[in-house]
Amino acid sequence: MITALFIYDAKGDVLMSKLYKDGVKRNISDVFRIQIITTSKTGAGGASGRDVRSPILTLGSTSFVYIRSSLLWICVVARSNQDCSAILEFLYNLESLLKVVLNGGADANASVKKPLTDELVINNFNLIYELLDEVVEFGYPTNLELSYLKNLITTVPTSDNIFKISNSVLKSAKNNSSKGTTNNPNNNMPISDISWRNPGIKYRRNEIFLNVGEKINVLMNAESEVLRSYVDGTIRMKTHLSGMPQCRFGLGNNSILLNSFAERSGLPNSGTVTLEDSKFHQCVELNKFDSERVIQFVPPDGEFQLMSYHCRSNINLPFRVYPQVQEIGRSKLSYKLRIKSCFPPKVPATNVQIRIPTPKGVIKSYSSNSSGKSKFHPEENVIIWKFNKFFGEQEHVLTAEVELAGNSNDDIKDDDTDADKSFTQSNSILNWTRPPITLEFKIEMFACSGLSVKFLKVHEKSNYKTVKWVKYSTHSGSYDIRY
Amino acid sequence: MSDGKYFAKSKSVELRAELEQALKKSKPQPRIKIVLRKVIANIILNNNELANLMPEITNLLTIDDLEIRKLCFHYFTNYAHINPQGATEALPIFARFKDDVSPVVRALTLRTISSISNKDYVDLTVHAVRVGLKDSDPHVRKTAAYAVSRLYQHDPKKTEAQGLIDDLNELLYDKTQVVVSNALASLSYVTEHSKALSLTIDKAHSMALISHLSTTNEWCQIYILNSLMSYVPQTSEEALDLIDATIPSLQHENSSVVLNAIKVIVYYSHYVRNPELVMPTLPNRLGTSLVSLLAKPSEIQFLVLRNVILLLLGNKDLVHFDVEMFFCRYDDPIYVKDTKLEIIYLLANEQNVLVVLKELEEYATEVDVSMARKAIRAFGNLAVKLDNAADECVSVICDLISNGISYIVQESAIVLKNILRKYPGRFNFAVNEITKHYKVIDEPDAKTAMIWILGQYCEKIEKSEQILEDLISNFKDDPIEVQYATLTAATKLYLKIPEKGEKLVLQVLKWATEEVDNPDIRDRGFIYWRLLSSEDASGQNGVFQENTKQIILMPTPLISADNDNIDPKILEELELNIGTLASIYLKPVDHVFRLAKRKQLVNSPALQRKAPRPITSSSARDSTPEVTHSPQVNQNPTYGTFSPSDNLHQKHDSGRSSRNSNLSRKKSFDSSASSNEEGGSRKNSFAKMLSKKASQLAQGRKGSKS
Repeated sequence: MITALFIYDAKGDVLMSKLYKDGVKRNISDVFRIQIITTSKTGAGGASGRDVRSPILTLGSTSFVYIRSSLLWICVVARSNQDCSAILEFLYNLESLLKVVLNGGADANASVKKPLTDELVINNFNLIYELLDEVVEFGYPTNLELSYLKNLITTVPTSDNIFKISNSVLKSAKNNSSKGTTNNPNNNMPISDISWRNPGIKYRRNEIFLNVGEKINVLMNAESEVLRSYVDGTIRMKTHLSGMPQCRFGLGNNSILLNSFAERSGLPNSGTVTLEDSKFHQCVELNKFDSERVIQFVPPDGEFQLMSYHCRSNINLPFRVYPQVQEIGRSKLSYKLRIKSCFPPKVPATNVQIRIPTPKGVIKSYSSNSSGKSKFHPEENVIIWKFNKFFGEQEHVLTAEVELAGNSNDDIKDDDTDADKSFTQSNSILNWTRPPITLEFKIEMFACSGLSVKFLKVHEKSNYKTVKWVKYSTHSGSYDIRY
Repeated sequence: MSDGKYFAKSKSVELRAELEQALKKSKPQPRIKIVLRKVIANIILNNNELANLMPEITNLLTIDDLEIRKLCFHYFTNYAHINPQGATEALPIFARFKDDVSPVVRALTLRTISSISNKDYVDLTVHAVRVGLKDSDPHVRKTAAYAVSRLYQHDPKKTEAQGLIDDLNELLYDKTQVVVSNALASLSYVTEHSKALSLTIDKAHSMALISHLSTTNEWCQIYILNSLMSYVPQTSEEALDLIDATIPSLQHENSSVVLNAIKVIVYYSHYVRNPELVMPTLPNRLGTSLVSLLAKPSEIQFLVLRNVILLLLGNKDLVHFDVEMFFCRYDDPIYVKDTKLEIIYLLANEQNVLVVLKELEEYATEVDVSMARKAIRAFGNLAVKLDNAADECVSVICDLISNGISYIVQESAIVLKNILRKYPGRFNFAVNEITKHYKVIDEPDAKTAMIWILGQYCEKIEKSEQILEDLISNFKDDPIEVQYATLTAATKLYLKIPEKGEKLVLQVLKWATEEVDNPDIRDRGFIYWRLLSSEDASGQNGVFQENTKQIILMPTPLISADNDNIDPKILEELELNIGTLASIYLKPVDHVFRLAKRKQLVNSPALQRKAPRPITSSSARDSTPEVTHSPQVNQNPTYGTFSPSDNLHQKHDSGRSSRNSNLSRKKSFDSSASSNEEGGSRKNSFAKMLSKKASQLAQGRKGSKS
């Protein structure tokens, strides 16, 4: 499947290389550098480079499948026709694994957000090389779970929070084997059918954190009619549980997990939350879910994403925006924007930011608003209107005007000849792309799909008590308004 | 603690010296590890010179430290093939390691020795693997499973002769699920690379494998799902059972599990009659599970979207999508936008066409040139595909043309030509609109289209002869397809309006026959010349060029948009390759990957061979000869059949051009303005018709020249 793997820095220098199979030489890495990195816009080619035309390059029987991770390139070389979906999933899984491991994952969630850098990779090249040796066997990804890898890795990462314990375990294992003691329990490979959890985990305080995060994506037209809206939600969990706990999880009665009901059209009567195509973490017993509609699982230790879902009907749109953008003559634009919040009045939305695009070459701008702060940012050609807090059921208005340069008299004179036309158009309102107005925000303890968690039961042999925490949040994905 | 400072190329001499220094210490381990880290850096940096260090590294193997051993193993894996003699020295040590008490060491040893292709190592591995496959520790068994396929890579004959493949097969009944699925992965490598071997599993085993799905990790699920493709259901009920059992996997977070599950379901649905009626929820479930993958990173989105196209080209009833889910997002990368546009076109139908048109108009007015062009092309294709959308499409296109922006006009000219052919006489106002802006047209495709329009509608266009003259002023430098179009258009103009066209046609024919080097153009020129100057040209009752008109001005055959179908055979193979690299290219698998093993549906009583639907068979690109004869699409009804070689060419072309769902420009031309390849066969027919009169014609040509 995977013949070789390379990691490059922004210039195209190889930071990591690993061959899994015969069939290519190491210098195949040059082909990728020449074909992709040096011709790309962000690579060494600079501004003259071109857009990425396809994330996959096939030359002869050899294919390069690659992703970007901030400035780095992670590239898999494959021969003949291989499972591209598995390779891409592997690349993204590897990326997040490296992030967690290299950024010292005391808090896995935070370290996933930190970017990978060439420095990090070089400083841990030994560890990465060893990881690559373990996560893939003969080109087939086998297991990218931290809990599994902890037992196999001998290299200590530079900023270690993860491997500390396991290394001591390993050391004792080594001592034992050298003394000739046979198969002490630590020494046995932790291969069980539940590959994502080690047996024998112990906590003094058993806790489980549940985090429902929703990303709402909306596209509205100028009349505030919704052209498209959907919610991508995830339920993330952090578990500090002893032993091998069996968890059961349930949503409110009004929620329907849709996937085996006959007709979708028959369903969405108001008040129900219809979750479509929910996707579950590998620990969830899918056949149980399919037959009994119960989400049952043995969770991995630490943080993980239990499920993701998609919701398209009965979405509570948190904001409605009514834009009016008018051209006044050839060089002036006037904006009038009304924004209305449609969530409970006591809930505040934070970090609300409305980005109102303007054409290039604005020389004068003026704006006034009923609340919040607005400012014109010439470097990005946007007016940004910000609120620290925006409570529910409120309405605010912004009016603005911008004046453009470069539309003096001679433009109008030359307007008839074709050659000049294209030139003048490049500055004028006519040729303005009108990118949509975008909205950013975050609302805590509000789920715009209406989803609510009703129960979460933890069952373990030793019957301990578990402390449970639940949190909801909604933030904006692409919240676009055309005008 | 940072390793960064060791990340550099070194020479074996330096490292050897460092090692010697280290070994003098009472506790050498930390120093040795540093040297070995430098070695790893050199492996990464592709420095083959370190192969000289083999004896020293062999010595280090005897140190009882797992980390040192692991690092040494990496060294052997990478350098043994460069220094085979040196590597042989280490054989006895490895032979000892393979029976180590620690399963970690046993597994590592197996992995290392199986990676080395030297003959001695292969021999050692054969024995070690046989034991390893029956090891008490599952981790070792798993490693041994992969060691078999590594051996197979080095020496397939020996691996088979030693019965290791059979031993590996035994692992499929292992009690540990992880071992089972990894054995499946290893076997899949072997069967992919062997002509004779293939995996067969029975119903009971496949159900057993499915029951493992819920408890293994994501990668194991992928391998298990893939192995399900090896079971051939004998009855529809069996197939339905298996589909039922696979459905839960559609909910998995890992996109690869989902795509592989879809592959399995599509495969089994070939063994059920009308699966969408038997399982009414299936289309929705497949559709939504794919759509939900669009929340993944754009590379994965792209792959998913390509597979959506594949499914739409196949059995459309099996999947259900809402077109709105494929509307482009402002910040989608270009490859995602392109693919979405293609899907929007495929999904457009009478019901949703208004929504679609509105969305496309949005794209067409964007500044992103390539996107705008593609949107216009989609307008054209939709107009041809959906009768009731045509008016709306054409009026949008006319609107767009009226701005006079060069690339929009050019693209519009191309699509307009198709629309005019589909609805002759319905959109004459569009002809006038495009002629107003003919000056900006300079790209070959657009020019070809514009010249065709001029030839076809010259009597309706004011001053058509002047416009044509303008367009063809640098005939000799034009690409060949423009030259063909020019020849035909000039001839048509002459036939329709002789008094205006005579000068032009003479000029063009003179250029074509005397100044162009391309023999095909010259031949075409001569043929027109002879047709026009033949004594039989005017027919019996003396009407001007009556016979010639019959040949050249005959009504153009209608085109249809049904050519978004792939040859069923190619489609069948692609459907068995959902999620693979080939699914991105949507070409016959063996065209892209020469070495890939062919996959096809295995016959069984339950297999539903779809009778070619009438729509499919009317496609001009269908490679079966009967179809090329069908009057609706035949490109040159007057002149009979294509030669076998033409058929071959079509077959070759079918995968690529049809999936573009563009009306291929070459083929939608009328009979007289055709492409290079087809010119050949047509020439023959011309020649046959004319051979009788060869001598007279030759005279005629002299006459017209003088």
